[in-house]
Amino acid sequence: MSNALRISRPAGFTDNAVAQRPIREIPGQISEPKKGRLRAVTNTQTSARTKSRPKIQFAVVSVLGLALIMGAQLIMSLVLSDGAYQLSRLKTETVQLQRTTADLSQKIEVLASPQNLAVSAEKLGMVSATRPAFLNLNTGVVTAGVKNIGRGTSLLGKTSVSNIALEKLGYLTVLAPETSETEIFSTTTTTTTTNTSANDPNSTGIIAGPKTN
Amino acid sequence: MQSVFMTRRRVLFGAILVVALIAAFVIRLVDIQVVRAGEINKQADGRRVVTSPIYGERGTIYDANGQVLGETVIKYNITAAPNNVMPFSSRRLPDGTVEKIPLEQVVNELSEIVQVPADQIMSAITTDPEANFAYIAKRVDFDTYQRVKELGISWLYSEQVPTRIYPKGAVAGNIVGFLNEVGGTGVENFANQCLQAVDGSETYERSADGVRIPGSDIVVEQAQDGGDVTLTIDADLQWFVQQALQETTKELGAKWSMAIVMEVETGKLRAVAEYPVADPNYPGATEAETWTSRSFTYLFEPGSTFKSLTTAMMLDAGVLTPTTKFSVPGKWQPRTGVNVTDSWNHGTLQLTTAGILIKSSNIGTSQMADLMSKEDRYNYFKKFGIGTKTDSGFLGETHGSLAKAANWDNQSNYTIMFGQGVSVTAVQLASAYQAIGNEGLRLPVQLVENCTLPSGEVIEPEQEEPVQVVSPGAANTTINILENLVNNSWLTSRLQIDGYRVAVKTGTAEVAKGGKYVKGLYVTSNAGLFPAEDPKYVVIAVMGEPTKDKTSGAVSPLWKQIATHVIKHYKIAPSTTKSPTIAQEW
Repeated sequence: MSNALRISRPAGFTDNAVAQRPIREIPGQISEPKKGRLRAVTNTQTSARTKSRPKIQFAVVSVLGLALIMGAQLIMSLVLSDGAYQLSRLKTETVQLQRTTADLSQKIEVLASPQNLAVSAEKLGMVSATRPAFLNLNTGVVTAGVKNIGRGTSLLGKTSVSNIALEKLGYLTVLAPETSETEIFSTTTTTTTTNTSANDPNSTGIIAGPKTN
Repeated sequence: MQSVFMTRRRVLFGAILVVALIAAFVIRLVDIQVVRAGEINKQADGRRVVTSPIYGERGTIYDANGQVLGETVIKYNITAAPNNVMPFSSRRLPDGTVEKIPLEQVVNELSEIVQVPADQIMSAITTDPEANFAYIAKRVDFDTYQRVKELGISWLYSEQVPTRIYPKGAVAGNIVGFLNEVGGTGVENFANQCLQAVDGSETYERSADGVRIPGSDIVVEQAQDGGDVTLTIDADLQWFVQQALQETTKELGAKWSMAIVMEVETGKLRAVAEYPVADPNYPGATEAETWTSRSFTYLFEPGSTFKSLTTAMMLDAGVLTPTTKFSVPGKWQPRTGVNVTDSWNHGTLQLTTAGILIKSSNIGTSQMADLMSKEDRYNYFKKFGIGTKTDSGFLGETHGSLAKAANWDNQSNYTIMFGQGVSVTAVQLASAYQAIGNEGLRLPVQLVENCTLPSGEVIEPEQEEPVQVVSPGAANTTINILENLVNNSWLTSRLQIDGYRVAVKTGTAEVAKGGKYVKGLYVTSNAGLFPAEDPKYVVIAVMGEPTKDKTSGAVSPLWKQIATHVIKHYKIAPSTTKSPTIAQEW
């Protein structure tokens, strides 16, 4: 028995495993197991025949499964690469928007410069507060503060402190009062025209000159 | 039995085959992954791996109120690939159609946008038609870059260039400074350790059409942003002072000028104005001497403003009182080699200590000097901060010159007492007056409020301990005398501020060039405190080499204009007490 068993035993099986594995696993193929005779050859032929059906099913399932996996992989890869393009597009958009934000906030900083505020306020007809008053909460006495001197209520003097960043935005010229203050802007315009000279430490080579109106 | 044997052989053969195959694969794998890995990676990387810099952002410079004085923005270099330039360029229109435009038209349109002459652009792209890189324009702003992009020309590219911009222009331009190849000037330079960023680089894989391959991002080195520097300067006040200073400088025909506003209770500089002043956006527009702050670097003889210091130390030492009597002759030659004169002719005057300071008598001040040893006087001046750099940390600050007492000759033993033969910076002078205003306690001069790192950590600048220079009594008495100068002298109309007690001293000194005084060249100044009963601010105004009115009184209207504005700006309530009157003569 042991001899016959060995023949049909697949490599790697232990004796123990064989012993535990019931021979009737393939029912009806071993007609008289109790007799101790084995007909291995016929048995294997029979078993090959009987096994062929489930094998086709397995193959179909495997192929289908494989096709499914490959299909899923293809779809995933498509989605992923599409996502990459979308990501790339959105990243570009983010960068673009960040740059716009940075550009706008920088412009706000420039427009918030005292030079621009003074000109703008003057343009709107605003004047410097003439004489602030102080109310003493302990005594209830109101005292007048300091009076304007020098330029009085005017915010601007005869000259102005240069701001090339502002000039580049073209604002100073736009907001310049047409009359009396012309002197202020003639000074700054001169600075602007010399601005394209090569010794600007912030630039090298060919550089765009400031936009002047 | 034979079939069994055959099967075994087949199995063995199969196993050997499998092992051989696996071995072959392993060998190949090791060859590719280990032996030739470097070479192959290099080849592959060259095809699709891109390394791009990650710019760390240099920190921002703020004023005391959070206004931006200097920041980094991205500018763009417009570049071209001449080898891709065709006689006709395709441009995709918004409706999706593609139009062909001739090269000349492209160049002309580009020229108009980037403000570079068309022939210059043409030569940049045609000089070497095989080149794959050429600059069209450098450092254009975002708007220009956007317009170039909208042209839709395939052979145009751009580079990002982080660039410093100074939104407030020349407001505090002398303090903020600017960057250049050698480290720059002002705060940009001396606070570089806080401001500077460390650039990183990023490597990633890119497909043929320029899209990042997902999951391939490999950051090689993280960029580190710089910290932000906050100054004690108040940009709005600074602007006003600069504006006022500029006007007066032109009126007086002065060559240069400076004005300082310092907070008495903190030693913080709120305005350090100068004229002429550089606009850091384009320093090339002004002379190289404007590329720093004169208030920290220029030494001048203070002249009579120094007499307040002399008086305060004498009062502190108790060698005199405000009403100590002096007989002040018209000419004074106490010993050989000593000749002290006053700026006006007079006979013998019966002056009190207050009278000497108010009338600004050099002779009277010299007589006071004899009441104290020169070592003691030297030590007082040192405690006032004379001859020592301040704590501001400003780049290129000078310490001034105060010779050691042992080296004072007979003449300078007296002249130093009235501000000749000694030199100071405007900031040192402000600091000495700050001590007088702060009950004799001199605080470290502060220009940088702090450095805020990207992590949020705030670093305060290191400072020396405050110095008690004179007693509160001596300091306050000195202020009372200076109030009398404002209320009862020829300068009353120029200096008195209605409703406020103010204390001012004027000063004039000759300008020395090459070790010799130049006749007719003066530095005139006014130094003062207000409100006198509880000083809040020191204001110093200095005119350099005025040509129209060379007297110190000519600076007084400017001092008053600045003081008035400071009072309004910081909402200082009017004085509720009256200035004490101190006898000037006996």
